[in-house]
Amino acid sequence: MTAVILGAATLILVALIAWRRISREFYRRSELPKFQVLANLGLGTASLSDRDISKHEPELPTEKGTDEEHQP
Amino acid sequence: MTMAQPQRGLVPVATKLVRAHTYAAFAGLMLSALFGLAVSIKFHVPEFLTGHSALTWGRLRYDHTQGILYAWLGNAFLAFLYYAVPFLSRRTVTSERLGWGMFFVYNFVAVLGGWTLVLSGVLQPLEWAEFPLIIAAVIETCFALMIVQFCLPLLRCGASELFVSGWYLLGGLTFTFLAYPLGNIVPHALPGAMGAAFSGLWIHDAVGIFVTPLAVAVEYFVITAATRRPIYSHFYSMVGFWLLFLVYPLNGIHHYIYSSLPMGAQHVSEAASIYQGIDVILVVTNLLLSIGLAAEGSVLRDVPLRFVWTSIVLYLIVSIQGSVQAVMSFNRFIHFSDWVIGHSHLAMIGFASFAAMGGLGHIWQRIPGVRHSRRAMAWSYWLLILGLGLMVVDLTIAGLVEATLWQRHLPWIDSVRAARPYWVFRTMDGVILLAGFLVFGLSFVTGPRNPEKFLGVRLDAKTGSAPSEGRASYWFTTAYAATFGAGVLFFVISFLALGVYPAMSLKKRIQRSTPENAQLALTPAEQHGGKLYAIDGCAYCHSMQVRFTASDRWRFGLPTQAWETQEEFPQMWGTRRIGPDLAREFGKRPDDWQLVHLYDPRYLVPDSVMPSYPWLFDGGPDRPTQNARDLVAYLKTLGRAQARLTPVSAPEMYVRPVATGTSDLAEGRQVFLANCAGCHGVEANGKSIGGQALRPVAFNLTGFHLSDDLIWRVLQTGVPGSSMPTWNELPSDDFQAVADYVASIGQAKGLADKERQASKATLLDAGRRVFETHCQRCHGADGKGDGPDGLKMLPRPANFHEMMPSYPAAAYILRHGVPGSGMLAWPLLTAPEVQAVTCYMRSFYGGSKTREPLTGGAASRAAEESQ
Repeated sequence: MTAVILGAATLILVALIAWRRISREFYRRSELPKFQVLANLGLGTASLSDRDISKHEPELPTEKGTDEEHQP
Repeated sequence: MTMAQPQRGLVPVATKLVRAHTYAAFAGLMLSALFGLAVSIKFHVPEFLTGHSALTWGRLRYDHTQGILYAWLGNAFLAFLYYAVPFLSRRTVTSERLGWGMFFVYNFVAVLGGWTLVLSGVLQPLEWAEFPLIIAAVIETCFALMIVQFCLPLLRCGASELFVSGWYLLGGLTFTFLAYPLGNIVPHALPGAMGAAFSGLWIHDAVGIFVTPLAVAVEYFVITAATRRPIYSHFYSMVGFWLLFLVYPLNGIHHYIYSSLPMGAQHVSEAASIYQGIDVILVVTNLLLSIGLAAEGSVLRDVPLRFVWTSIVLYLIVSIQGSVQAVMSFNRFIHFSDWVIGHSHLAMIGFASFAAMGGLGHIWQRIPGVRHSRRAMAWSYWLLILGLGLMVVDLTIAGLVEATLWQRHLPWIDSVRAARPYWVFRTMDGVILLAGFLVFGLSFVTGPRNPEKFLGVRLDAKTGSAPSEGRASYWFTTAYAATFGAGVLFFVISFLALGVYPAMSLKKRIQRSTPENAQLALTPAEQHGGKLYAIDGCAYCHSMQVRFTASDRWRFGLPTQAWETQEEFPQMWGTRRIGPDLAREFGKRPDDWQLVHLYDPRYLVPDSVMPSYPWLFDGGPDRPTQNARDLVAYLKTLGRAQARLTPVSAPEMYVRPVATGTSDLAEGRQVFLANCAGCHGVEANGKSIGGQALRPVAFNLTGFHLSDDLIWRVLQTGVPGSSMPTWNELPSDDFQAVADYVASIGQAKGLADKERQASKATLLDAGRRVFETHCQRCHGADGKGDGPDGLKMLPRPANFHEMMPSYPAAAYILRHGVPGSGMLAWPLLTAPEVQAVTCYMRSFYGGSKTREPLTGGAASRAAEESQ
């Protein structure tokens, strides 16, 4: 029972990891929320390009003019 | 000063609610920490705050943990939610009016009401669920309202765009709402072992499903906002999220390993705990990479981020520690000790509180019109690091010491003595922590004031869409919704696997294994005593489950079987042993010992740290109220059913005579003072307060010569019918030393010629007649204590072949009797008759009469007193 539960959970997650490695779209979509929250915080751009999101180590351009809301 | 006006295109943040919950959180933190400090002081000053039942250790301890969970962390997370949800969802919370209603109900009904009811004795003895049922219902309602308040805007945001913090908030609130009744309500319906299975779920879910998700949500949010960079991997953050909710609920039963719960469920919890550690490694790696890649030194400059960074590191440490603790071979050793207390403080302060502080510190710097002091917050960080570090190291070492001593054949009180220095140190650490909390609070009301402005989230902060946005978004939303549904399903599976399955399995086993004539039902008085036992938190120091381990079997007896617990509503198995386990208390102690011990434990056990319960008495240990009698009646039921079914085996005896005088008497006196002086008195004359309150009163060791065999037998087996317990837990060297010491202090000199009323032959003849007239029916014709009436008595009458009274001691007993025994006073005997019968009794003695008395010590003072 334990092995089945834990094994099933692991397999699903491994499948998702594999899917992410294969599919560019999956990768892009799975990383989108971290840019969205930056935009919400006023720390990022409101118009991200596909190029920005799909970079593995994103170098998100910060627009200083949009930082106001989240500054101390 | 004018308030900033709402601006178009901005979603407002409910800053007043943020402020209200922040202030409430700080007040809750200080009060909860003060409860904790008082509890800590009581460990080494047991009489601290013992005048009233409301301030007893158990109730303060209940309020400490419930306060940390709800008053501090609950409010801190609520403040964070009011701030973060608009940024995560680009929507306002559902209703600010609902928020204020919830604020007042949560703080003034749930928290303050719960604290007050607990202090007044209205509570439930369930770990992490101590607030009474009525408060539990209020809290559950608040969780439902929190879902309405925060989850609806998060769900409207769209699953495919929701940042991981939002997922943690969704999961935390939803699963807490589902899990809360399991630990707070179900154990009232399921007794003993079955209830323990559900309690175990909640003990872990309170931390794993409520505290952890919200703390991790804070961490992801603050890292993003403070570093102004995206996290390392949102995908892996979601993998960690799902694993947490899939695996965490399976951990619960690891609090009851080696118990009578089904072994399959125990193995599930063990495996899940290890898996959980792996998940935490994944989460922490992602978090630290997010900081490390983006921070470039900002961790040192940004104090809230420093709090968050520390909480992440400590999350890793405490999780791996937790996984290791769940491994059965290690759990067998370390469970019930202070190690676990160190672990829980590391989790609740190091991980959860540091995350909450980082979150509060971060948002406070952005709330318009409030003051914040970076300097004070930095000071609080270092104070808290110092206090927490010292406390965790201290308690971890204390736990190792305790666990080591429990594995050895030593009296339980030795572990209490060994832990005392660590407990003193823990209080000092607690003071440092309290100072840290105070300075942290000051950082919110001092320093420069933030400018007044409208705080809101831009509605147009929407990332651009790719051409395939519609289809991908649909699939993602569907996938996430399905996964969330699977999470709920998995929660149900965990509920079935670790709650329902063990309960059903136990029910069958109980039906199959309960002996026909088992006496399980409790009388109304015993049930009332059980309630008193619960409300004063006895089970939080005295576990009530003998585990299936060798050391437990040796020390406490037969492991606790599931069938024995079917009348325990709710279960009080406990997860801590400061005092010994009481599951086998039946028949161990007479009532008067229990009563004196309740009135003031130090009367009988000088090194005890147990609280006194004077409010159960009318001014003295010999004047118990009905409550005290009921409580003792309940104690006598613990293990009763099993004891009455188990044939009493003959105690192991030393058959070879043991020579005395081979060990150091000074060492023997130290052993005596540590273990025996509580009842027998420092001077060994039985004149201690506790000794005189017992029935029969404690024995005057200085007034008798005792044979070596008698001393050894009594130390080995105790004295049935009296409060004298066995001392076979003592190490052999200590056993020998105290036996030698007791043998050496007996003073039973003969009479000087001038004291003698007649010749020895005359005295013997007269004494025989007195003995035959007054003593023989109990003490027997040969003075062996086996007279026809004496055989009906417990304790048995004195066997004068093994003990020889001194003339003063015999005169005292004949004049006053031995209260609580069958020995009555014989005031009508004349002085010559007393001398004669004493001379006759002494003539039976066959033991050694030539021991050297102690010089100038206890014995001589006792002899003077007798004179």
